[in-house]
Amino acid sequence: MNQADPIRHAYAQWVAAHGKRPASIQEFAAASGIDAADISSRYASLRVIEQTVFLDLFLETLRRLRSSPEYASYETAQEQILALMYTWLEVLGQQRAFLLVLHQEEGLPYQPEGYTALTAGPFRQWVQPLLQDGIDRGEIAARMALSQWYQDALWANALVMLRFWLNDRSRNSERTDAAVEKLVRFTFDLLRPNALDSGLDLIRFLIQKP
Amino acid sequence: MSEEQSNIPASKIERASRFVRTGFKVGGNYLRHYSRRLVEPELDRSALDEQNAADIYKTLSELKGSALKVAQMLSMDRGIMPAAFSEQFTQAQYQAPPLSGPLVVRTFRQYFGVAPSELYDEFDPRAVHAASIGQVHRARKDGTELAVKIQYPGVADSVVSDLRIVRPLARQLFGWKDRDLDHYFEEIESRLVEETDYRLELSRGMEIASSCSRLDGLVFPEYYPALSGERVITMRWLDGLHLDQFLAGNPPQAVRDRAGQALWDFYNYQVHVLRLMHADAHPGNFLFRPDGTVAVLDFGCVKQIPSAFYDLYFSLLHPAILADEAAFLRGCRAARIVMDDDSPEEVATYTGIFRDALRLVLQPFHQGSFDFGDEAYFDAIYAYGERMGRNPAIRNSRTPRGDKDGLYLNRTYFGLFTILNRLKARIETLRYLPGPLQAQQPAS
Repeated sequence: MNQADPIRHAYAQWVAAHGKRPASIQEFAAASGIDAADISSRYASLRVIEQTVFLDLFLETLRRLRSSPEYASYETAQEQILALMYTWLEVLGQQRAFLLVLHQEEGLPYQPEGYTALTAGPFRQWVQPLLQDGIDRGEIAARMALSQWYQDALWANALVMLRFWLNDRSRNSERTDAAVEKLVRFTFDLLRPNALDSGLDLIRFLIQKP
Repeated sequence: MSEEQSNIPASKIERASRFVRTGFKVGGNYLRHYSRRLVEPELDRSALDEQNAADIYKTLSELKGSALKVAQMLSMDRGIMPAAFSEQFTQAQYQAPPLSGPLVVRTFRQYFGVAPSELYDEFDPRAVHAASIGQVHRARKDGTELAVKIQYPGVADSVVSDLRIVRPLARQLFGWKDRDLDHYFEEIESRLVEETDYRLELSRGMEIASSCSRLDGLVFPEYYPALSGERVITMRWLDGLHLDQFLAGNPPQAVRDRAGQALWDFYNYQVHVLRLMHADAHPGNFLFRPDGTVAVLDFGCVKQIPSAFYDLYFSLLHPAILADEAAFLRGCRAARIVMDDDSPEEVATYTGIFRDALRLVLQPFHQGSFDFGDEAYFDAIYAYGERMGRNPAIRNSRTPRGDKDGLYLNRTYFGLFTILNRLKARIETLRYLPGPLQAQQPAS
């Protein structure tokens, strides 16, 4: 996470250590010795701090991917997405205690204002060219308007993974690894040209007037 | 007589017979024939309750991983499910899709902190083949070819929950009481959990490899502890062919004899000298080489043979005891072949069966050298198994027979006899038997 910002760092530590979120910026400021005005001037609410901490973790994930020779060697969108997910899990592990508190207090991170909110945009931006390359290679089916939803499908994968991981009590979160493997494989089985496409093609042919 | 034969109780022979006769060929008739056996005894009187059988069978076929393995082992032991069948099941069920490259990288980062490309000079991200609970990759470091085995995630955790699934099924299938189920489940669970511990496999592999290094014709992988961990094992790459491919090349008799002898000595030596054995005599765990040497892979399933159990079976095989009815009966009781609450008829049935089984299985030892290509011998075993399968006393028994420690020994010898038969190997059977046992072998 971003060590350069002492507020975010201190906040994540405070929440993890206390097992709960502070009731207000004032409570957190008093406990951490940081000036409340300083916090308020930079973050509109505690929620924004949480969203930014989560975003930091995602950006750190992208940094690791960019410098990974393995990642550069992957030639399919499926492998690239899997690498993204596994590297992300690795980075998320640094803040597991903090994320567990958020998870316990609000359950699913699906709400538009949840702690994952700021990350959805960058995530979509990252996967969009991967998907496009996949379509160009023929790995993924181009389905006109439907293709716009592909990135949402992957974001949904990410949220499912996050939730699974936060509930996972297996050793080294091995069950999450297995789940990600199966989830992404399933998603790509849907994305790649399949029976749906040949079926649509058939229907198109049948309704055409000769 | 030798004691390893004593380790092969009646049901083992039945399984061996099925295996040999069908030669892995499984057809619809087979299913129909054996599904009748699956029917519970009290339902048996109704003309055909195949629907019920089919239901049980269907449940069995839907099991995965270790639950399947347990159901399979118990079924084989009871002669309820033919070996050929259950083999097919296991094969099918373990055909898991390979781990993705990114997950392999993640596994290495978890256990070594670095990606495989940093740990080895070269690492092939595509798996060469699947192992039972993992997959094998090829790598190279400092000029040495390596095999890297990586375990699927979550296997260890799923073992216990799988067993919980199979328990009620076993109760239904065999009609056993909880106490009897516990007897076997403890043994199976501990073996299965051990199998997922790669650090244990590594140390046992190294131990058995060094203890058996004096045996002729065997090759063991060299292990690299620094490149191994909870879910990763690195060992030297061994060349060789799997049994099917090896036999397809029509190796000469001398080569098949040498390979068979190496395997035979390997097990004799482990059972009698080490009292610790590689308990998975599955063809997939051995590689056969053109000169008749055999490479041994996969020490995941290792069975320690308790002294008390060893002595018991040893005593049962003593010719003097076989001749002495009272002593033989005491031995049968101790080995749980005969139970305390058996009726006199049951006692007679089971001791008779066990005695016949022993005579049959001990034949190779009586002759000192034995041709496992002898189909007449395996046919005799098969015929015996058929007779036993038709015996209502056995079919309807609600009590598991035999000691839990025998479960894996039976399975192992079943596997060994099968491999030797397929090799059509001629074996010197008395090597590495303890001196007293050899002396007691009747002259052929």
